Amino acid sequence: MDIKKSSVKALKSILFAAPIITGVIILIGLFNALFPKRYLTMVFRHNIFTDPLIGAILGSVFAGNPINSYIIGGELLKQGISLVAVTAFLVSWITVGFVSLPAEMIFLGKKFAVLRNILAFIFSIIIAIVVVYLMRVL
Amino acid sequence: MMQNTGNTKKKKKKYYNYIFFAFSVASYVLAILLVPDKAHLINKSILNLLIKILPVLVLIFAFMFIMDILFPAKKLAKYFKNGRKSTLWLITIAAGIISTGSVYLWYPLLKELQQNGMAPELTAVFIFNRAIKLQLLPMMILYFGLKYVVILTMVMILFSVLYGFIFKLLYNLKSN
Repeated sequence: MDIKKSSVKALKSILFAAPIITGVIILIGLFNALFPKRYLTMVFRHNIFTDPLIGAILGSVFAGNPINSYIIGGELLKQGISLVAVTAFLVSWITVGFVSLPAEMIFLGKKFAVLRNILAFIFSIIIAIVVVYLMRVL
Repeated sequence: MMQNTGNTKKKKKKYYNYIFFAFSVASYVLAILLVPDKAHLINKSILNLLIKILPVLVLIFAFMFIMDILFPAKKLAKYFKNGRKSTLWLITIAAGIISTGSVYLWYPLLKELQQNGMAPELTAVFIFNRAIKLQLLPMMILYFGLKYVVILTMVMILFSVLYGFIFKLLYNLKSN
């Protein structure tokens, strides 16, 4: 066990990560303050084909605690937005990170980050369709 | 000559973190200047986020430190290379589900694991499974009902495997 070596390694990781994590926090804080989530309902068109796409886009752009996505999702359902759109919104909220994409690129590589996010975006819509289909069948 | 190009790239990458930070700070300053009446709201929002993530951040770096002591890079790389693939996938899915905090806090640890041989598809599966939040399931049930949450959770876990396979296929395709 080399505690000194491990300490230096952890410290180096912290020093590299600190500016990126602080940067992401600033961007998310800015985004949350400048684009209030209450306006989200206005974006949906009550269209069965475009709403899931809009849901996935909004979920990808917004970031923060998943509890917020549940609250907004519940509110969207009350407003008559389809469950497919709300599910796409909930899934993409966590799996796709538009604001944290630059940080993901720095840490895990550009190719990794871009491919992962695009695929997660597509999957959020597919999963939403499958979930709602199973809700009806089961 | 080629080594020089490699070193320059490495150096450039080293400064990406500061460039990104500078960009974020510039955005902040610009926002404060353009919408000064929202300055208080912006500061409050950033401060709230900072307070929320600090404990998790400390926890993750402590975890990295302990992991480095218990599982040195060589041992870890060997496990990622020779370990049973199914076990690795199951551990990754479970780790993704139980992990807490914002995803960007996990990037340093994931980067380190990748450097020690963790396959990119496993990293992607880990991040994907973070959508399942065990600690928040009661809250989710309250909003969407038990049936919905059970179906969504099951579908997410099953689809994460498919997601991982497609990711691997595309990632390797793009590499070749």
